[in-house]
Amino acid sequence: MTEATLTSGQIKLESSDGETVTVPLNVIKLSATIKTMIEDLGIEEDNDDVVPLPNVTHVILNKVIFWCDHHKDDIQPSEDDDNKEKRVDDIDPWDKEFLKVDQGTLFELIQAANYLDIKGLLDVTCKTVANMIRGKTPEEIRKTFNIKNDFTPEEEEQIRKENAWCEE
Amino acid sequence: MHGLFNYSTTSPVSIPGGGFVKEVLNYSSEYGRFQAYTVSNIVGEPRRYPKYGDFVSSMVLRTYGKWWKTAPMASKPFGVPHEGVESQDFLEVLFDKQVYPKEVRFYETYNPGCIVRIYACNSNHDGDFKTGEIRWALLWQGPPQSKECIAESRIFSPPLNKIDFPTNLIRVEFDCQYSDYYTELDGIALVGTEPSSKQTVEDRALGFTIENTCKLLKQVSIEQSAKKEEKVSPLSAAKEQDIDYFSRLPIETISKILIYLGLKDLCSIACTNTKFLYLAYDPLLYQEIDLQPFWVSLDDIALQSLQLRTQNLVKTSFSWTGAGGQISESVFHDFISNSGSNLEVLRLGCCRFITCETLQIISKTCTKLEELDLQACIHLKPSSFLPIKNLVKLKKLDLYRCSITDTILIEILANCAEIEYLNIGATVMTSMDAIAIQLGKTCHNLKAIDLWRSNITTKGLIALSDCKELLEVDIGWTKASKELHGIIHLVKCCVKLKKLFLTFCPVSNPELMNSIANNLHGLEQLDLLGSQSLSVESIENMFKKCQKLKFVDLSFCRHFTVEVVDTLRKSYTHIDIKRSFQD
Repeated sequence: MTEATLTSGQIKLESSDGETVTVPLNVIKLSATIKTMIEDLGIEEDNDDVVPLPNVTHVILNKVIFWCDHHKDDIQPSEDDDNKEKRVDDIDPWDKEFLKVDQGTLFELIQAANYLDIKGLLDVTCKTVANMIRGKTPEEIRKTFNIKNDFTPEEEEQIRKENAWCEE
Repeated sequence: MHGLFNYSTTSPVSIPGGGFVKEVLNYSSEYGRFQAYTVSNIVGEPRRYPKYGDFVSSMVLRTYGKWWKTAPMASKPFGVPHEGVESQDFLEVLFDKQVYPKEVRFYETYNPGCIVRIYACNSNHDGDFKTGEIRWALLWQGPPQSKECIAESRIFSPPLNKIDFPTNLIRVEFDCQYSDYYTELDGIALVGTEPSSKQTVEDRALGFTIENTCKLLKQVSIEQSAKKEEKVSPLSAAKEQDIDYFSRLPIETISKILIYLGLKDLCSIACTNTKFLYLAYDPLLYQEIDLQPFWVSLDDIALQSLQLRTQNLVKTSFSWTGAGGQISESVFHDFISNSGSNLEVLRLGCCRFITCETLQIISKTCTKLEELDLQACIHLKPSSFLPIKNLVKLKKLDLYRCSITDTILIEILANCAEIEYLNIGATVMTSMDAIAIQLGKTCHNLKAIDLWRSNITTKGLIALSDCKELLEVDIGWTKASKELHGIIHLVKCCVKLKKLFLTFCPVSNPELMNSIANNLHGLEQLDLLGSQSLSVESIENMFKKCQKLKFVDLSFCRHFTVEVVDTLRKSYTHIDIKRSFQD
């Protein structure tokens, strides 16, 4: 596939619930999974082939495409950026607004970003969840995310004791 | 905001309770030496208050503002940034009588607003500092007020938390990074009610073994690897409020979320259940950990628990920790032996628990070490430092205020030729020149050297000029700053200099300014405080040629009156020009 196809072509994606969406390649190229698929399979422009995405519902797929469309012209972060400071307060305002969704949708977006290998979307959704954890007590975290406490009282006492130095 | 706090501009009256400071027990840094601008000036009644200005009889810390953070020598932050109020300096002071504190009054006589935390200790001298018995209770904390404060002296007395023990040992922490110039304190008073009967310190029960957690972790890791095979559960019809969405994410993805959490949040989420205990104890999350913000509570138990997670530790700071004897030497030695082999950065500023043996263990274990910070470890004997010579990869060594001798440092430098950053400010050495000669001979990668208030002379400065890579030189308050030709030689040889501190250099003259203007085109920071013979023309000429200049201190320079400096500020808006005053 040529560079030209990537900038002008389109591709059809099928969601887990059977809906087909046509997406410009220059938008969905943010998904490393799809980009590799196209390159490896040699899918040509205006081909009728449909790429099935068995792990993504159409509601989430549409959201992912909406996000990719907004970010299609961003400068792509290089691998080195993994080493930079892990900041959570640098989420851009558009993404913040975009991620004002219920917890179920947020976690489905993480799963989709992970499956489709969209680094930017995965980073920003993970940061958003990290922000929901920040500053909370263990009990508050359990409540926020419905995490079941499976410690025995003795185990819990032990773990609390050895982590007490972090409480303020 | 400061409407909340008491203000007063009246003279100090007799103080009911603990009185004024009797003794300084510990501190992180100071500007002065021999009584002028030293931390010990905080002892006794205020002398200058309510006057406002830069007085030698006040207590002054070493740094302020953003300048130190942008200098080559600056300590680079690492790890997930810690939330909450920052502090760069502390001071521990003892008062006469133990009281239940009602007020701590700070007589701020210059650039107020840098105090961000006040603690009270339940013990009162070094002899009592046994593991587990010392408690520091937070009396107050708040963001720095430097920006809101006006140029007036004040008594700062923030509302205090109630504590259940009487105290006469107070710790104060400072954040001076928003201050326009050095902050100065003229006195501290402790006000409170005396206890009717002496309270005893309660012992902490330690019914605890780290082995339990090891067992638990092993058990969880087996369960988790089994669970990995399970399919991610499909969307069920369960109500939103009952669903644990985390259970639908693959383990690797949860780990991607956890990398954004700081230590405090990792510890919290580890306490929620076995899966998160396993995930949040992942050593990959503990490669860069700054423990300084946790100095109050970091103890042996914490260290033993951390040791389960720090096998991959690369950068860490223990600075300020163990201030109440909460960390024992042996537990720290275990920690280093187990987690030190990949360490590149180790900061141990003001750590009282380190000994001669600690440095031996570090030199044997931490063979990859590139940065070692021993700032203000004043309790260590000179010979303790010798094992550092085995750390041949060392690039940065901070011995600020340490009592090391020149023979030992020379031996270290002869072995550690990779040294790039060396802070030996305020150390007491017989001959700093001998050290400069060694540096000029073997350490050609040297980028920054802090010789603040050391006894380096012109001879040393000329030897040091062989280090052509130098970006930062601080020879404030040294003998070398009293002779011109050594400084001019340095300026001509080390043309890469970005920061040059010539504080109290009475010989500064137009010739030196010309030399700076013609050679140091990358110069960003220049301290000329106390240069009596500087002319305005030579400074302007230098400003025009050193176009990267951002900071210059012209305090106590005879020709630089308020009017002259104001005119310069208007013409050179990109340069932050400092001019301190006494009245």
